Amino acid sequence: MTASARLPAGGRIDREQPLSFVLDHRLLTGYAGDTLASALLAQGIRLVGRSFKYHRPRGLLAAGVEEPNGLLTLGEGGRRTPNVPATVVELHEGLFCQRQNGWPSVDFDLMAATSWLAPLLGAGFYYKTFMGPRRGSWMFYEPFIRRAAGLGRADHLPDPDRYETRHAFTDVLVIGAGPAGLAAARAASRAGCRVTLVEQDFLLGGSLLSAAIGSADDILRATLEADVAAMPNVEVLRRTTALGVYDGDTVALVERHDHARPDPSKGEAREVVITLRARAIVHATGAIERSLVFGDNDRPGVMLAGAVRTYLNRYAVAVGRQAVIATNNDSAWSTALDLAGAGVGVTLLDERIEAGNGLADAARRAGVDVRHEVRLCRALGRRAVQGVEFARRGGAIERRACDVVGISGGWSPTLHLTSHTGSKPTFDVGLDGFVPGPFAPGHYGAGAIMGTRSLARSLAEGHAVGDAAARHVGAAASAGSAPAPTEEAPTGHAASPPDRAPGRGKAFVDFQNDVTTRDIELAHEEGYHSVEHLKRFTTLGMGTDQGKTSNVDAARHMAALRGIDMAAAGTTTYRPPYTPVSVGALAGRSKGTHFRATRRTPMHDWHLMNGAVMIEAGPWLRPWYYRWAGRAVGSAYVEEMRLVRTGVGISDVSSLGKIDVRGPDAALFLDRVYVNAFAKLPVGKARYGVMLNDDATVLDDGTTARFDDNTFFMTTTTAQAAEVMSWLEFLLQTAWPELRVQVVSVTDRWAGMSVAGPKAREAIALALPGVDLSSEALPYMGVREFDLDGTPVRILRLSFSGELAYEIYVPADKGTSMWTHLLEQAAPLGMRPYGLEALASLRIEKGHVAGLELDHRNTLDDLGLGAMASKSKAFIGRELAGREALKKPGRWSLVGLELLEPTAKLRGGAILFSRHDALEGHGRGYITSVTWSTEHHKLIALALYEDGRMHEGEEILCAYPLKNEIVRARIVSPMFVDPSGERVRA
Amino acid sequence: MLKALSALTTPLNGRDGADGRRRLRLSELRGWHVVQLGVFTGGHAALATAVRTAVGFELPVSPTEATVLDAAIVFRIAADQYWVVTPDPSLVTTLALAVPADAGTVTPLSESRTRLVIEGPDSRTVLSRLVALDLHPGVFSIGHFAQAGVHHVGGLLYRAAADRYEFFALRTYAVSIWEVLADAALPIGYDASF
Amino acid sequence: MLRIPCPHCGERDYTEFRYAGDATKTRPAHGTTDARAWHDHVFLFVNPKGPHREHWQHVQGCRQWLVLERDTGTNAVGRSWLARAGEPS
Ligand SMILES: [Zn+2]
Repeated sequence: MTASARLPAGGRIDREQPLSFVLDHRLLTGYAGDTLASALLAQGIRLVGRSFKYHRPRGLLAAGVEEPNGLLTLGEGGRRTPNVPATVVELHEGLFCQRQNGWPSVDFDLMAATSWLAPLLGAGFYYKTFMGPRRGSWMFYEPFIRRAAGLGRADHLPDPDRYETRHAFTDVLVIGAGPAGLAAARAASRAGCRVTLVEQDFLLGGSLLSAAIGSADDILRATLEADVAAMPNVEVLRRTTALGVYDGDTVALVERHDHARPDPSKGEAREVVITLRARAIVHATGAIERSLVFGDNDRPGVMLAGAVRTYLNRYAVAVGRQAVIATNNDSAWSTALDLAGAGVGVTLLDERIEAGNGLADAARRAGVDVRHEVRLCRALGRRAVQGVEFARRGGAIERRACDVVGISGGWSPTLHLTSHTGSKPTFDVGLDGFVPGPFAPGHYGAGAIMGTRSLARSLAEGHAVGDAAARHVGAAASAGSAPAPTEEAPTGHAASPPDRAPGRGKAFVDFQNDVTTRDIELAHEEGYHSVEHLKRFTTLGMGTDQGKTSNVDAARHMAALRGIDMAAAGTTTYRPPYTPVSVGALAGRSKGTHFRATRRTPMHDWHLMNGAVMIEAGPWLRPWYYRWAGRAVGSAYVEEMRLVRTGVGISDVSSLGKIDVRGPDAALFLDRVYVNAFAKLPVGKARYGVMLNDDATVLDDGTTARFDDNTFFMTTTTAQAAEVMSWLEFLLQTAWPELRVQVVSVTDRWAGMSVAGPKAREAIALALPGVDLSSEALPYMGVREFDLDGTPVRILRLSFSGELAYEIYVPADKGTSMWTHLLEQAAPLGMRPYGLEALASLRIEKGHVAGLELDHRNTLDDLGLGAMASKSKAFIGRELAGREALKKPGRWSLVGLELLEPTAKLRGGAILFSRHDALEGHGRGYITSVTWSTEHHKLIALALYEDGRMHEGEEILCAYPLKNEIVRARIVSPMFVDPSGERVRA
Repeated sequence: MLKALSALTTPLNGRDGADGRRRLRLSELRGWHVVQLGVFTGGHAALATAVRTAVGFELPVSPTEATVLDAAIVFRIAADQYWVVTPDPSLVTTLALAVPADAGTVTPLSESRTRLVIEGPDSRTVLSRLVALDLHPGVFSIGHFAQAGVHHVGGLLYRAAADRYEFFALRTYAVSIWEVLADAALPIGYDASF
Repeated sequence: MLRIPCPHCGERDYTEFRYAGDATKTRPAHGTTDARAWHDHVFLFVNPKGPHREHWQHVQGCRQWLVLERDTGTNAVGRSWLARAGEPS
């Protein structure tokens, strides 16, 4: 264990607030204001993990979201979260973390010794080794590779934390609170807009946070923050990452509360996903520093130069005592100067002939040893860097001892989000990097994302686009004048793009995926030239960091091999999310019972209190069966069926779709919509109707009753209720607006209950003694509306079960009262409730089609309903019903099946074959619905079968490959019960 | 003889959030009626006249702003449809008799909706969890209404006062909507009653 | 999240709507016996890349069917109007 690297003073940490945390079961201490990464470095912990494939020791490379190496597993049990970059974790009391991908430990990793696997793990390994003739060898290698390659491990426990989602709206969204973003938010808010400023960090300031406390940049940062805080129309969201920009300028944000250790029992959310709709967006996302490619450049202690400066100034951590800074641009000179100022010995290696104005003098004054036109060849050391080899181009190799190497290969604008909008990045030669392409209207960019490296220019740009965004959304007030820096830090561009350095050792391009220059060369040799192919061949740019530090270097390397320029090489496609987001946050509260909204019928609570076992049917909760009839559904539904066939039962049918169709043209409208005639339906009668889609497939069936000349009450199936309602509205609003008809969904207004069985009339007579239920007054398909002490009641004499039956409708608030009244009054007849399973079984026995048969592919003829189609009027679907293909033999049509093997089972979904068929392929049909028949004492089914009715009486085979079953059944008429319909007319 | 029951029968009274700050009250408003007026193509003038003559008010023009009267609140819920919400059941009957059959329709819907009240300083915060509407006071001012999905189920949200919103939920979804409201309110703390 | 301007309610998330495709075609008059006309209407679509007109219904809102101008290439949303009212001049 090395000594503390924490400086005695400085940094944006609160030394009054020490925080304890646990790493691999060791108790450690940091301060409020630390990240986990800075706290580890302050404790001298360099080795943070083992690499993905080769188990090489790795240290932190960066100080931000781009970190490829420092991935830790946070938390325990259900909270365990693998692969979290230590650089983005705000330290809090009690933080529990583990290093990963080392066995038995990261410090002493036996897997690193399994180097016999290494040759197998190069690029294209999976493709080349396990595809084609040698595919079988995967079986041998898989366990080794799975154990050796990989990162952290997830757990399988439920996550106890609470996650939320919320909706938000704003005029101007500013993404990034660096100097440009702060200036933009300041300007847009002063112009009078609603502004939302999001920052992934827990502090505002961006690059300014890396400046020394008390410096001019630090003072500027404080001023900008105060300016923005003073505006009441700015909402500042810290610890919030913009994950993606989507259509309609909708931005997905995730706000993290881990630092506050949220308590789910108090409803505190760990993460909140915000869907923000913005009218204008300012992209001020900054830039990410690139690394340099040289031998063994992954040794712990080799870090981005900007990160070294951030750790020094923001966290008061001097990462080493002897530093080598290697760069191709001016930005790293600030690191060298600040390190020297903190008493660190610094050697500065610049690839260029000279640096920006004044830098050489400043470095000399600070005692920095500056070398120009030299490149790093190799890092020395194993578990920590101990020195470097460097050389002039073609010159002899020199060595320098050091304990930290700060590297800078230039800066890549963070253009992930602008790319989500479709703005294609373009290559800027002067910047030596990709910048955003042209923006869509309402989108603006400022600062480092635009390639701007000067602080003064970033501020001016931020101010200008903040003002422009405000104008775009119609703001009228003045944005005032732009903020200005008191002192301009030296800036400059890469004078020369880095080229490949000589030297031995693996030269890593993508640290997280262990992709080296050699892998890119291999990809080139194999013909995987485009950046997209390169990515898939090598896995470069995949993983949690998505190649934030490596993509440009990789493209450059490939461009050099191909002899093309960077603009032609291009970039891979950027897709959301910008940084990883937990699935829990995306789900929010939409889980468990809140996964989707649930519908309850008016009698729901009665069912629960009276022994119903409920089942989900679409959005509805419905009684499946009642405990009076049995302990399990298999016995209960048969008992309930017997009740209806022999006595009387009552069932809740409130979930049927119910639509009021009113107006002088209502009859005409229904005549067009249904295949059968409705215009002449008498008042007081109902009719079963079938609707077709325009293509002549069956859309839905149901019963529609006429209560007066202009008023119809339509019922639809539960499943198709929403579909039918939209279809009727479509016709009235788009095709036939001249029809004087209004359709209103009244599904929620009416509670519905079906009283069915030979004793149904007696049962209702007991409950509603004043109502004439005789067949003369209320014949089959008759309807009646009457007033019961001020409550409208509708009785429809129709049957789904094939027995004498009545549907009774009352306003929803009186549903339970009517239901209990009926049950109480009809108790002497033994009336009891029956559930959905019995309801469905009764209709199968009766041969009524339902949702399982109506698959939007069958025609009227397929379902045996062809005779319903009117010959004398036009209806939707009529013309296309005559299509050749629908008239051809071989169509699957509705049949009944009875089981021929008493000990076997019929199963829904079973594939049907003739006895002479080979049992393969899609067969000649399938079983749609199965039930036990109380009439026939055997299992029966409805099915769709090729030319079904022509095969009545034939024995066929029902194959159910999931259970390896083949059973014999006979095709019969689908009407298993009372085919002449005497019972319903009783 | 038949007894009316609300869709919300399982009492949740007195539940509150983590710190019991009680900046939010959830309740159901009962004893009101809603009737939907539908206008046929070409029937608007006749229907408007009939309504004016029978009950003495004008049909609103705005699709986002309710007309608030002593006797009723009127919402224009579609180009050709209105809701009249009133505590007075006789208004429903009067309208049903007044509207000419060739001009439009009157559909009673009272029992089909559950009227949930979300009030208190944190009401907007809770609603932002559930509904994709810009409820900024400058945008969704008092008297504004919107038909939108709450938990992906359509309903009508009405801002009755500075810190009071009313949501007309479909009755069969009311318990589910109530549960998501209560869940969203958990971190804030709430009083609940029917 | 596509944002759709509902002519009645104002701009909303597309998740409040249901989509019903091409609105550039005219439905054959009810009772048209020409099967070819129905065939063309039901089965033949141009499916352009670029500006297009589509039917959407604001199902979770005012339940109005509307015609929306949308660029199928860029997802850029243009004007909208109530289907029953026809394109505003
Ligand atoms: Zn709408």
